Parts: sequence; structure tokens; C-alpha cells
Amino acid sequence: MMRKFTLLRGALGFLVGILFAFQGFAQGVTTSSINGNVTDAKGEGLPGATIVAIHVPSGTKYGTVSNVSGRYVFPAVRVGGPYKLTVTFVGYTDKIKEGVITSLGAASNVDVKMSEEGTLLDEIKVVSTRSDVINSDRTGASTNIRREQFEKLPSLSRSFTDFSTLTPQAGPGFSFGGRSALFNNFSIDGATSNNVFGLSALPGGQSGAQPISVDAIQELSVSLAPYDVSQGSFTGAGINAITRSGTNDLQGSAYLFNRNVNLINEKVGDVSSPLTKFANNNFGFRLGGALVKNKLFFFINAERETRNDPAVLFPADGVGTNGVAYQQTTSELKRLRDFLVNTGNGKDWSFDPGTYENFDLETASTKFLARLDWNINDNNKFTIRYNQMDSFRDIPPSGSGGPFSAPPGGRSNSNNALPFSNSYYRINNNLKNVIAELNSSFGKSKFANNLQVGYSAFRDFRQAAGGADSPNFPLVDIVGPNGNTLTSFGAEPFTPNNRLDQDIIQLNDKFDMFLGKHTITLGTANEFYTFYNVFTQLVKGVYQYGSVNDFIGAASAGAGATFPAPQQYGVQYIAIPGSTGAARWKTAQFGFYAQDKFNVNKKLNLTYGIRVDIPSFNDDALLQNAVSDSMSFTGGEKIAVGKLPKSTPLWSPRIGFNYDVLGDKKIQLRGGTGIFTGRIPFVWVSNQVSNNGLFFGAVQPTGAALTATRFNPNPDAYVPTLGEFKGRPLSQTFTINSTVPNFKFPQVWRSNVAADVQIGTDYVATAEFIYTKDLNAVYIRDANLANPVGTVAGDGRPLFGAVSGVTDVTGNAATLPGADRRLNDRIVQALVLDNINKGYSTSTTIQFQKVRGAVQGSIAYTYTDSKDINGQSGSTAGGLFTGNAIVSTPNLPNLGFANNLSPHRVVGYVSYGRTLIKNVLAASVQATYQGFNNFNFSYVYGSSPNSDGINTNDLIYIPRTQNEILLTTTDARDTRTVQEIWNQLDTYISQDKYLNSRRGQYAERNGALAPWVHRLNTRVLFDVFTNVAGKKNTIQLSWEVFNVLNLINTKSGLAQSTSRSALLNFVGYETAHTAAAPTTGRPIFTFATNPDNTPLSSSYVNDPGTSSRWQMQLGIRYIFN
Amino acid sequence: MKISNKIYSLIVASMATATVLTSCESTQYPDPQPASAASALSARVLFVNASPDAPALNFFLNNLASGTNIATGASTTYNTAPVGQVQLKGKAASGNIGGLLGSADLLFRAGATNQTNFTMVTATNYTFFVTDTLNRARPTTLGATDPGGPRFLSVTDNLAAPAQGNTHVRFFHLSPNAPAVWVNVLDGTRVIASFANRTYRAISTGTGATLVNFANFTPIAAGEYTIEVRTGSATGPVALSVPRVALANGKIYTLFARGLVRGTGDRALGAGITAHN
Repeated sequence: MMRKFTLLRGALGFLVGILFAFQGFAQGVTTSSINGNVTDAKGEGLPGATIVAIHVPSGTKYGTVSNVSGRYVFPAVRVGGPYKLTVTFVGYTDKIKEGVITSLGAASNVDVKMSEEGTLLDEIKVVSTRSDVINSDRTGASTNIRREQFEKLPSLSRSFTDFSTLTPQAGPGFSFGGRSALFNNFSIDGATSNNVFGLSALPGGQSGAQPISVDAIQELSVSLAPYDVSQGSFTGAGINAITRSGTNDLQGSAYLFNRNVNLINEKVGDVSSPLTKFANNNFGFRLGGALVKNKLFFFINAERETRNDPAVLFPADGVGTNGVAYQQTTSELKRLRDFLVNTGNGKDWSFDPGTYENFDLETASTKFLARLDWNINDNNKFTIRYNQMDSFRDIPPSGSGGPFSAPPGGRSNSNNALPFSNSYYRINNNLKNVIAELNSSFGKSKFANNLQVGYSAFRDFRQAAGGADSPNFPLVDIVGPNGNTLTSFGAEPFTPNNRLDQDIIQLNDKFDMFLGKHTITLGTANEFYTFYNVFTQLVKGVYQYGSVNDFIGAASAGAGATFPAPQQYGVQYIAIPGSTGAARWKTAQFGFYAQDKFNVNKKLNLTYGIRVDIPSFNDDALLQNAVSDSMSFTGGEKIAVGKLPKSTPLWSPRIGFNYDVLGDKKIQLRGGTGIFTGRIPFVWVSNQVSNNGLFFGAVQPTGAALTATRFNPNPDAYVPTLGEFKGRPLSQTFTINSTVPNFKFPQVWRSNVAADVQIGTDYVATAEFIYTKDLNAVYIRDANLANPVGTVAGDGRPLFGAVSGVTDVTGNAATLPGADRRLNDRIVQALVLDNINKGYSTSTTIQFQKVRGAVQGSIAYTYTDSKDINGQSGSTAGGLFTGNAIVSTPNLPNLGFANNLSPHRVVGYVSYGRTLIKNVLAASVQATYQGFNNFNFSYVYGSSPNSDGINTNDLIYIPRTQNEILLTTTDARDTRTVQEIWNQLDTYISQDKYLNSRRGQYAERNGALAPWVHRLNTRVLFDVFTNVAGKKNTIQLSWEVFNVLNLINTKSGLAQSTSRSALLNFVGYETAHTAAAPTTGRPIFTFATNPDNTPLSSSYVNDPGTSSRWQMQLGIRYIFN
Repeated sequence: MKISNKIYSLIVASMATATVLTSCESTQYPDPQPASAASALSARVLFVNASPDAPALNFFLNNLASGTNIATGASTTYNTAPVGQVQLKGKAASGNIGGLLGSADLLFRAGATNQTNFTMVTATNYTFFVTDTLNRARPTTLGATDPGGPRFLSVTDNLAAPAQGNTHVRFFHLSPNAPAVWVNVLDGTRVIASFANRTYRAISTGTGATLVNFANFTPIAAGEYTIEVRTGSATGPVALSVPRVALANGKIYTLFARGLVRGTGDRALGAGITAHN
């Protein structure tokens, strides 16, 4: 494998060498372009005319000469403007065009008609040649959001994702067109900036931070179907942001935005439900200017966001609204703390667990960005940009048990539990990124080259809350009198050593040749990734005691004395001598492309090209598992956990067109068809590197061994001494993750057809249709899952065997007779990442835009349909596999609605501004609207009636009559008869439109839609300005209201969530289900009431979070320019 | 121009074809095969009020009445129960149960939080005894949410018909404050059957090969017997002797020690007898 890797590197070096030799340059995703035709009075093309374009604010100068047909192109110019174009030709009067504005990734078209000498110099102020909707460069769907919109439209979190949702095809989260957000590619100035590892779609996803300040963004484009093959690495959307540059004028701004609990509706609907006190501040500045006029420019931005939330919402000695006292009392917690912090008390150690009183959970991020633009000469422009994000968030201890049993009721603060502060943790998401870009043109502008070199370093790690080291002490959970966890202290279970480093090196080059009507582009895009991941869950061990007394008794018992036994003890340990549990591995992706942009005639433009992407994995550092390697799985499949997939070249041919129907830029047909190749979140592959069954062993005593387990403050007290590593798992049972050898990165075939019609001078109507077909979708299967042993009685879905246990730990593949669902008993699951060619999405959009005038805006409706085999939005192979709601087998699920499907969506914005007092006061009002179904979801059974070992993933059958379902009482306290339970269920189904429509059928994955949400947000800006020393100085006051409808009427603008998506709980079969004798009995279900014993009668409840409340943000900004 | 038109037509045609060919795909979930009738499987349950001091009780299976006004020492007949998890409940026939339970119901409780229902196995007969006094203390076991007071004790009943001339009998110790007992079924002085060293609420002893299930019935010849209860050992003092207990041909009986040591009236130590057929 390594050999192939080196070979590719060599090939790449060679190619780059050739490109350097050409010394050449074009329009990429970081620049814009200007093109047009120079004609004489009769409309004939004028070859050899000289065109000079000057970016007025910076004096940046670009020059070219028209070709034989009079056509000219500036392939890579700064985004923005205005530009001044001067055209000169011997014998003709000079022509000047001013006010040309350019947009990211799209060309501005400026045609120039020359008149013979003798006429006056012709200076024309172009009204707006912003590369708008009707533009010969446009093929597939894309949306551009400009700096002016960032500066004005409402955004509470000041996140660019609030603006990317203005894309008509946007879906929930950061998703587009119904596809997973993890399949997007986000770049800043061409530097890959999404979280390629994929624990979240974007950096800062875990710490609630934004990777870049909106004050540093010049323009953002969201492309769904760019038929330009230079764009790649996504099967969702390509989101490109470019940052601001300095100009000859020194310009700057400083700002502060504040949100707090007083600026949020304290009611949900008409129910009083105040949120806890918090304060959110976002402040920063930007400054741009010239170091050398017309030559060297700088731009810097720094921003800090802080938020404090109280950690303890349910204090000790508190009493709930129902009058019931909380389980946690000061006396018990203080007694425990006093015991721990002092040596003595029968022990020779002490430990500070932190406080049980309130403290602040901090969230903070600091962002810094610096950019230099250097106009080396007219033909060479160089840019270097650095940005940094340091962010963290304090989080309560996880309630998960990891490989062991979860503590009852979880660990976070509730009316039962109050953990000590040192068991909280801090997640850090840090990012450093630098990218340099050289744009060159030569050969009298016949050739152009764009070279980008970038390096990104992502550093995600955990600490104890407050930034301290996670304590070197076992986690202790203490159960209180009511059976729920009372308190926890010690190391958070998933924090010690938890670390993810990602290093990405990028090397891209694009070379354009302008040959008459053809623009030929050759290019390469390459990324080299290094991952270093440590995840040592429960490596400090976890004890669970039944009371504070038990713990104190156990911790203070002298040698030889009897002591209270823990209810549970477990510790995971690194099973490889000398290892830190770290998985370090490398991968790379190489891309090469060739394209022709063919200006067929005045009306028709074609873009066609082909791209090849070659992912390459380096598995040198991976371990082999001698046990699982020798096993046989479904159909005799062999799984080698130490092997990563081989390199498979993935070809992406694409063709796009743009047709100006009447030749007058009033009606445009555009679109194309082609293949797009993305990457997968690398965590899906990393799962294999870590989950090979070898890394960890576990100690979990039961019975007499548990009784004999004495509390020991040393986390390693029960970790066995490791013998020589033999490549064999130490755990009795284990899960492995793997990838099929010929695994391919996701590919889709995406077709797009659209029509744009200009109405009058100000309006454009667009109809757009996109169809995406999965060619290589990713899906996960469990190769260790045996075929079903029958069907579930009274239902018909496949029934899997029960698990019969392990007989032979030393053997390689002990298999018990009978219908065990595990083919190999030692393997819990063998999750294999594989490809499937099923899945599709369509989106149909109607959009109206007002593109000129004092009032500008857009309104769009999009209908989306998207189905896939696997939900594809989880961060672990296990999560992807188990999180997929199914009817048949989890190994080959039916097509289901995609997780990110929002079938109907309306999105729009409007912006209006006017001067109130000339040279003193201006105001503007902006509004955005989004209407959508809150989310989609699946109605599933709690537990696992199909016995596939995966809970909460079986879609329910919706009964028509009582005979079709066996119901029983929920628990010992239920007061309903079976008949009453059925009546309640029947009534519930009848009131739920979706369920009622599917009686007699299975519910579909993500088939149910939460109610429609109207989200109207506004922002009002007041500008007070005055001129000082030739500079305009402005104080800008900003007032944002999110969810205005809720402000107008507290019962409007509500978002609703499901009352219960796991509608029915499976509690067992009528007859026993064993490996030896699969059940023939029907499954039995409970349909629980609400906690207050009233029937569950409504499908939805008001979401108590911020989405159902109006929120405001106040801001003040100083601007000089 | 001609060429470009052709190219254009080609693109539009191919896109249109693609669009038509690729309309929405259905999910193709398998066809359900729902049941068309209620379940044919069932179990049977008989309740015995063996608490020394509980009031007369009404019993419920999944909140369906399954015997009313069952006084201490008395029993219901067998009730048909669904299989799988079933809730069992007792309520005072009038007023409250009283004692530690107060107005609460007597519930079968299992699992870590004492909220889990009983799991019935198909074609199985069960007897549920109500045992303990109204003031049985709330246990101090860690994490327990057992509220104290009377509680259920379940055993399975093998109702295979006794051989001709025979009767089936078994014994449980359900007197909360009595020590372990040795019980003899006497024909005169001849020991016909004995149940040795039975402790309170014990339903079995030993494990694996040495397991003795007290729920199993002992066949004896039908007749009139004396039931003798000894404490301390098989030859210890006689704590109770109940004469002329008629055990009829073909019948199946559960004998149980009931009441309290030093109890009087209804609460006096005595022998309960429940006929299963």
C-alpha cells in the first residue's frame, strides 16, 4: 500500500513540475472573472484591442488583449469591486466602463462596442454588471451571499451557516438537497475547512464555535451542481467562503453584540418557563488597508465570543415545582466531600472532587485572521492568509456507561443527581490554517495559472471543566435512596487522553489556456491527511456504590476488614504493551482534471470535462487481529482489520450548458449532468483503525469477585499485568470495524436543469430541478449477523436468533450450534463499510428575486425528496448501523427518507434601507423567513422485537384492530386494562395524520413530519455618521429579533417536537426466544401514559428550547471607511 | 448554429430522459403479516390471601378483576391470564389496605426499581400468595424501592391429575414470625409425607442437582390426615397440630402455615389449605 502512495506522490510531483514549467494561470473558487466581446460599430469582433481592468479600491491592475474574435477574459480577479475597464484600440476612441462588480466563482460579462476616432471619449457608468442570476457562466444551482448581506441580515450566532440557509435547497443543519451535512465540502479561500474527520460537519462543532467571523468574509457561495470539474470533494454541496482583502483606503470596524436571558421570551406558548441565566458576548474588530499603495494590502480580524451558563440548575436541598424535594442534599454531599478532601478517616489518601455548589460552565472562542495581498506585477498576484480558532465548552459528565452498564438516571444534574465539578469536562476545538495562492497570467494573457498551497491543523482534545487536567482518579457513581444516581466524582468516563489531531496539507494547481472560443483547463487538487486519535474510554475505571455510606465504608475499611461491595466496577485498559491507545494513520486524495469551456456562439456556452479522484490509504501502522482475521463471516467473507481499502480511481465526467434563448440575456436555460465524487468523513475509516478488538481489554468482576472488589483510588489497581502482545484480543467478546477492500468514496450522478427569466429590469424568476442518483452510496452491514431464523409472529418481519454466549475464548471461531445471531460468538458485531448504488434525491425550486433597487429580496419554495439506504449522518460506524430505522434486516435496509430531508421549504429575505437625515442618519430593515417542517422522524419500537440486538431501530407496524397487537400494562403502577390501553393507542393513532394513514402498514423511516415552523427574523440597523478628516465615521446600532411572530403573539412561532417517537415498547414475546428454540410467540408491547398518568393523546408538544421563543440581540458597531 | 442547436437538443433530450427515468423510488418495505385474531396463548392464575392481617382483598390481572373479597386464608379460582408481562394487583375489598402500604395497592414488583411486572409462561398455572403483615418494614436494601407491607409470592402449579385413589399435596411456610418448620402429614402416628426444614416464604432449596422445588406436589393416598408442624428439628416441639384434614381422591392441595406466632383470632398460627381443582 505504501508503495502505491509513494508512486502517486511521485506522479503528482511530476505533474506539478510540468505546470511550474509552464509558469502559468484561472478562475477558481477563490476568485472571479470578467469577460466579454470587443466589437466595432457594426458588431464585428475587434482582435488585438487592449483591455485594462482596475480594481478601484486597491488599484490592482489586470491587462489583456482581445483574441481573433474580439473576445477577452480576465480569468482571476479579486471578488468585489468596483472595477474600471478601459479599452483602447488604434483608430478608435478609448472606451471606459465603470462600476463593474464581480462575484465569487462566476464571471461578469462586459461587452464593449468601440466607435471610430473623432468621437468623444466614452465613459459609461455600468448600472450593475454584478454577475447576477442571468450569466453565461452559470450552469448548475448555486447561491451567492455577499458581504452586504452578511453585514445586514439577522444572525444571532453571527455564523455563516445562518446565511448559507438562504440557499433554496438548504435543509436542516448545514445540509443541502436532503443529503448529509458530512458530505459537504467547506473551504475558506480554497483551504479545506470542514471537519474532514467528521465528528461534526464544521470545525468548532463540539464547542459551539464558528470557524470564521462573518466580519472577515467577503463572499460565500453554495454550489450544488457546479459542472466545472475543478470543483470537487463533495456529494452534498460545495461551500466556498473567501475572506476580505485590504484596499488603498484604511477601513475598519469594532463591534460588540450581546444576548442574555432577559432578551428571550420567558414563556413557551402561554406557559411560563424561564430559561436559566446566561450571558453571551461577541466582540471584535477588523482592519484593512494598504502597506504599499496599489501594491501590498493587509486585512486583519479578531473576534472573541464568550458565554457563561450556570452548571447547577437543581441545587442540593432544592424542591421541584411538584413539591417533591430533590434527592441531593447538602448534608450527604458535604459529608462525602469532607471525607474525600481530608486524609485520615480510615484512609491514607485524599482527593478533591470539586464543588457541588453552583459554578459557571464556560463556552468561549477566539478567532484571528490575517491576510496579505501582494500585487507583484500586473501578471502575478500573491495572497497569503492565516486564520486561527481556539474554542472550548464545558460540558456535564456523560451519562453513558461505555462498555459497562450506564448509571441509573444518568450523571448530569437533575432532580436526582448533582455531580461534583471536577467530573465535568471541557471540549477544546482548535484550528490553525494557512493558505497561500499565486495567480499568474502570461503569454499576453493567453495562459493563466493558479497555485494554492495550504496547511491546516485541527486540534480537538478534552480537559476537566475549567481547563484543569482530568483527575487521575476512578469515576465513582453513587446511587441515592430513590434508585437513581445521586452524585458522581472522579475522571469523566470519556475524557482522559481523549484527543484528535488532524493535519491536512493541500496542493492545488490549475492551468488555463485561452484558445479562441475554447478555454482549456488542466488542474490537480491534492490533499494529504494525517490523523492522530486517542479515545480511551473508562481507562480510569468506574465504581458504582449503593449509597454514600457504602462508598465511605468501602474506602475507609482497614486491611482485612469487611467492606460494602460496589454494585458495579469496571475498567478498560490498553491491551498493547507500550501503547498509549493512539491510532495514527495517513491518507491522501489526489485529483486531476481537464476541461473545455466552449463558447459555442453568442447564445450557447458549454462546459465539459473529466476529473479523476484517487483516494489512497496508508495502512502501515494498522494492527492485524489474528483471531478475527482467521474467522469466516457471512458468505465466507474474510475480514482483515489491518487492511484499508485499495486505491480506486473515481472518474467524474461532467457537462454543463448555458443557453441565452433570445440572445438578449432575458431568458436563460442552464444545467448539466455529471458525476460528483466526495469523501467520507474519515472517522468512518478511523473506526476500523481503533475498533480492531486489540486495543483494549476490560476488567469487570461479577458475583463473588465483585463483592471482593475493594475501592482503590489508584485507577490502575485492577489492571492486569500485560503479557507479550500476540495480536490476539484480550476481551472475551469484541466488535470489529472494517472496510471492504474495493471500497469507493461516495459518488453521485447529478443532473440539473433550470430556467431563469428576467422580468422587467428588477426581477428574476427561476425554476430549477436537480436530480441526484447515488452511484456509490456508503452503507454499513454487520458481517457477523446470521440470517434470520424466522419471522416475527403476528408481524411478518424477519426474526433474528438469540445470543447463546461464548464457549471457547481461546479458540478462534467457536460457534455454538443453534440459531445464534452471531456467526462467530466472540464477535459482537463485525461492521463493514461497503458501497451500494441505491439512493437518490430530487429538489425542485421556484424562486423570485428582486435584484435591484432600494428594496431587494428573494423568496423561494423548494420541494425535496431524498431517500437513502443508510442515514449517513453519524460519526461512528456503529451509530450509522444502529441508528438506521428498519423493517427488514439491518444488513440491507429498505430505501428510506433521508435524515436531512425537509420536503417543503420556503425561504426568503428582504432588505430595505434609506437615509433619514442626509449625511447624518440612515436606517435599514432586514428580514429573513424560513418555513419548514421542524424535522422528520421514525416511529419505532423501544427495545428490539426483531432480536437483531439493536434497540430502538425497528419501525412499528400500525395496527388496524386490537387483534393485530398484543398490549400489556407498562409496569406495576399502570392502572389501565388492556382494553383501555388499546383504546388510548387507537385514539392516538387516529389523531396522528401520518399514523392513521398508514394503518395496516409499517411506519417508514423518517416518514413522519413534525409540524410546520414559521421562522421570521428581523434586524434593524441605525447608522449615525459624520465625516472626520475625509473618513466616514459611523456608529451603528443593531437590533435583531429572532422569531418575530413569537414576539407579536407568544402562541405563534412555536416549534414542536414529538411527544414520543418510540411509541410502543417491546417487553418480550409470548414464548421464550432462545438460540436453541426461536420463539413462535407474538411480541408484546406497552403503550405508556404520560408521567402524570394521563393518556398520551397528542403527537407533538411545544419545544421548550429557544426555537419556540423570540430572542433578541443588541449590538453596537463603530465603522470608519 | 446548426451544430450548436443539435448539441443543445441533445442535452435537453438527455436531461429530460434522465428526469423521467429517475422519478421517485418507493421504499418497498415488505408486506406485513399481522395477526387476525387475539392470542391463543394463555396462563392461569390463582390468588391466595395468606397474609396474617390483610383485609379481604380483590385481585386484578392487568387491572381486570380476578377474584373479589378474598378473606385471609381464602383463595380465588383459577383466572385466565395473558402470557408475557402481566401486572398483578391486590386492593382492599373495601377501604384501604392500611399498614405501611396505606392506601396503596399491593403489587407484584420485580426488577431494580420494583416496577417490573410478572412474566407469565404459556400453558402454565400459577398460585400467587399474599404474604407478610401490613407493617412489614420497608427493606433497607440498597436501591430498593419496595414500599414494605404485604407482598406476593408466586409458585407454579403442576395440575397433572393424581393417580386413582391419590391426592396431591405440597406445603409452604407463610407465617412471617415463625421459625423454620418440619411438617408431617400423619395417618394416626404414621408419617405419610413430610416437608422438612421449611423457612418462611422459601419455595425451593439447593441448586443444580440438589435443587428441591417446594412447588412440586407429593402424591399420597386420599384420606383424612393430621397435619403436624414442628419447630427446631424433625423431632422438635410440636407447634401446631391440625386434625382431620380431608384430602380427597383426585384433588390437588397446597397446605401452608399461616397466622402469627402468638397471634390470636384470625391471626392465630394455623394451617391454610387451598384446593387447586
